[in-house]
Amino acid sequence: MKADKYEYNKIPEELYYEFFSEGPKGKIKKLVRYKLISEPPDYIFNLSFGDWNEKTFDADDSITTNNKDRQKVFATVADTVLDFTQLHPEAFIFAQGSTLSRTRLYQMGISAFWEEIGGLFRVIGYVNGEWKPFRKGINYQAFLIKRK
Amino acid sequence: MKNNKGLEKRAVDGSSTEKLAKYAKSPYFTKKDKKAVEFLQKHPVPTKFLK
Repeated sequence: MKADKYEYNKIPEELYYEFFSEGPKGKIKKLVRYKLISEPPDYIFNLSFGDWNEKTFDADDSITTNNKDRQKVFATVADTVLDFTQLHPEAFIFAQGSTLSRTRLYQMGISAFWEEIGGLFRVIGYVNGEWKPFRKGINYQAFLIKRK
Repeated sequence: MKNNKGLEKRAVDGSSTEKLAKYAKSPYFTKKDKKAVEFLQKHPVPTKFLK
């Protein structure tokens, strides 16, 4: 991805990627985690993303960080998808926000970088009771992504 | 592996093993995985897309 993004550290044994968002609200630790939820032949990994809270020892994606770096954070998450799918080219990545509005943020991110994402990945979305190839401007409930 | 300047403070941030132990206990991730599995069971992806 050509967009500005954060560098990440990964813990490949368990498929975690961590990075820090930096902005007016300070330095906030973000985690992206891939978990196999459907064995081959489907080979689907669930992508979970959220802020890591050192006090609760838990992640959360319901927080509105407001660190004025949404695009950079999304580009970083997309970068982890690139890295992960380089290591697991046959993997499907399932992505869904914890709420519809969060899922909409994923959609906005995919749309914003569609020129690059569309060339590298096959993206389908679930909407109105059907899985369909991704198109901009549609509010999907979930996404499935695979390298072309 | 890419390095993040902020992550160089290993003494503060913990080793990979310590991190894994923390992250693996996250109820948020467990809940998200469960939700994803339920969603895919309820709305299976057509085989034509799983190729």
